[in-house]
Amino acid sequence: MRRILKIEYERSTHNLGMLLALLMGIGCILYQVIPVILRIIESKDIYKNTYTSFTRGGFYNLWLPGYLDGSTIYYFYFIGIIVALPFGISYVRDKNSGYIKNICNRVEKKKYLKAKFISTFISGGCAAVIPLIIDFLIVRLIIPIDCFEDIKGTVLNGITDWNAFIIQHSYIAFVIILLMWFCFGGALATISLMASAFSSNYFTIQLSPFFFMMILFYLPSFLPDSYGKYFPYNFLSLFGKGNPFICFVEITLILIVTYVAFVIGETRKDIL
Amino acid sequence: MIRLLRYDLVCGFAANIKKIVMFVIVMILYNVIAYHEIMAFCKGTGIKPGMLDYFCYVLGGPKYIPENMLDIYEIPVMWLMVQIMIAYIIGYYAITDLHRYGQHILLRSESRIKWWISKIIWNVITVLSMYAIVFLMTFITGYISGAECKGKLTEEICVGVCKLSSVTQNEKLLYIELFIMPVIISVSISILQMTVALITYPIIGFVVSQSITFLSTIYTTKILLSNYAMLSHSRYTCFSNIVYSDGLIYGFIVMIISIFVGSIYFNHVDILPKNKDI
Repeated sequence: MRRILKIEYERSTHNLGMLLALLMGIGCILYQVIPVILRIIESKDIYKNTYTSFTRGGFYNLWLPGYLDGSTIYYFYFIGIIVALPFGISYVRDKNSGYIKNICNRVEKKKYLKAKFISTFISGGCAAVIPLIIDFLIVRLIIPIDCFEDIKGTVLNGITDWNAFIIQHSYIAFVIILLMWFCFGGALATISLMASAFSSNYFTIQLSPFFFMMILFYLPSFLPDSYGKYFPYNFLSLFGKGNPFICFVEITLILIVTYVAFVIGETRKDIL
Repeated sequence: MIRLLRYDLVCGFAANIKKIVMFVIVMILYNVIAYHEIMAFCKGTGIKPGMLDYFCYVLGGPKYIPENMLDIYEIPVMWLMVQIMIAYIIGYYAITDLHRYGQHILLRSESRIKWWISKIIWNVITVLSMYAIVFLMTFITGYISGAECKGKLTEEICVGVCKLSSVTQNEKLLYIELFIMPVIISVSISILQMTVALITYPIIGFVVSQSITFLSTIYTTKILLSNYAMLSHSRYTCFSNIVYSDGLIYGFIVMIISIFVGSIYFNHVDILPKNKDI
């Protein structure tokens, strides 16, 4: 199991899809952050008005999950494609090329499928979270993480337990947010594996997490506002009233469904 | 050339039949939502809807977002789904055909340019067919709801339900902005998508075309082509500089450049399938 997992992990992270996914994510980050840096550089009064306006609300007001900008919304919109790009179509590609027959001669099919599931989860999570880490490193150049001079009117102003936790334990909250994004990105990527159990069209498989996210964007309009916290735009960003518990419960549900459909479902099928 | 075109039309539609059925289902859902929203508004206000109000709801585009007011932005999922489904139908056929049976067709046609032009014509006809479905289903929805054929937009419905900032009653502008511009811009973007898909990968073509479309719902600028397809972003309904005449020229330029670049690339590329990563 360790050997096949290593092979699949190498394949999932060292490919053109991962590069393109990271380029898309980093492009969004740079679009968001560069104008802010330029404004600070151009401002003559750097230690007075301009700097103070950025420190209001602290680090979380400038970081992608808390910064309301076209690039943030773009990142949320295309997250389904970003996570599926690295390894989403690998199973169908293996089947079509005959690679799966060579692998299943050497390794139990269930182990191969589990290794693929884990690698897809990790590659999807990395594609989702690496741009956030880069954004953190850049924003951290401008503002300290635990500086909350005046949160009135900023993204952390909402009266929720999660916002209070972020203010009190900034570093721990930062790690939890990264973990949420990593696990959610990974779970979304496994949806493409589930789609590959039902379809052999590469395009459909790569777009299946994207269509899933479109459904999750649309459903809140049919439900009362109090249900909004159960949807990704609210629990992954700092604008809504979501919290990590809801996020991890939903991730677990998605992983259970995709695991059953892909690993258990495909183990029973013949590879010929 | 005619045989090539006939092959593309028959096989192109046959290969995408499931996606076309999905598109019809999406349009039925969209029209049901349009019917319920407009009828609920009309019951509350006592106004009678016109046929054009339904077309405005479906084709008018998302709400205009002034600069620095992103907190009022909501992703216009249903309007985007129409564009996504068209991109989804267009996205993959040309490239898969090239790597499968289409290679034999290409050999027999003895001309790469003819193959490429046939694909362009297939692309245009597919987009026109999709919009024909949109128009037909919206007309049926308006007919079932008893909408009047007024030839004008009802201001209260357009501002209250369709999310326009204001309404123009200039009929010529209205018909151009509501019926002709969405089709022309969609055709331009689809041809651009197919060219990018040919040169790189189908998923990248999809991302490029949908990035232009999605960013147009946020930023009302002349650079983003899809702005010209939205009545709600036009100068005649909001404070923007989007004029349909610029859109026509821009759309045709994008179309011609895409066709030209695609034909040059296709004339020189190795058409044998490679083991691609994505």
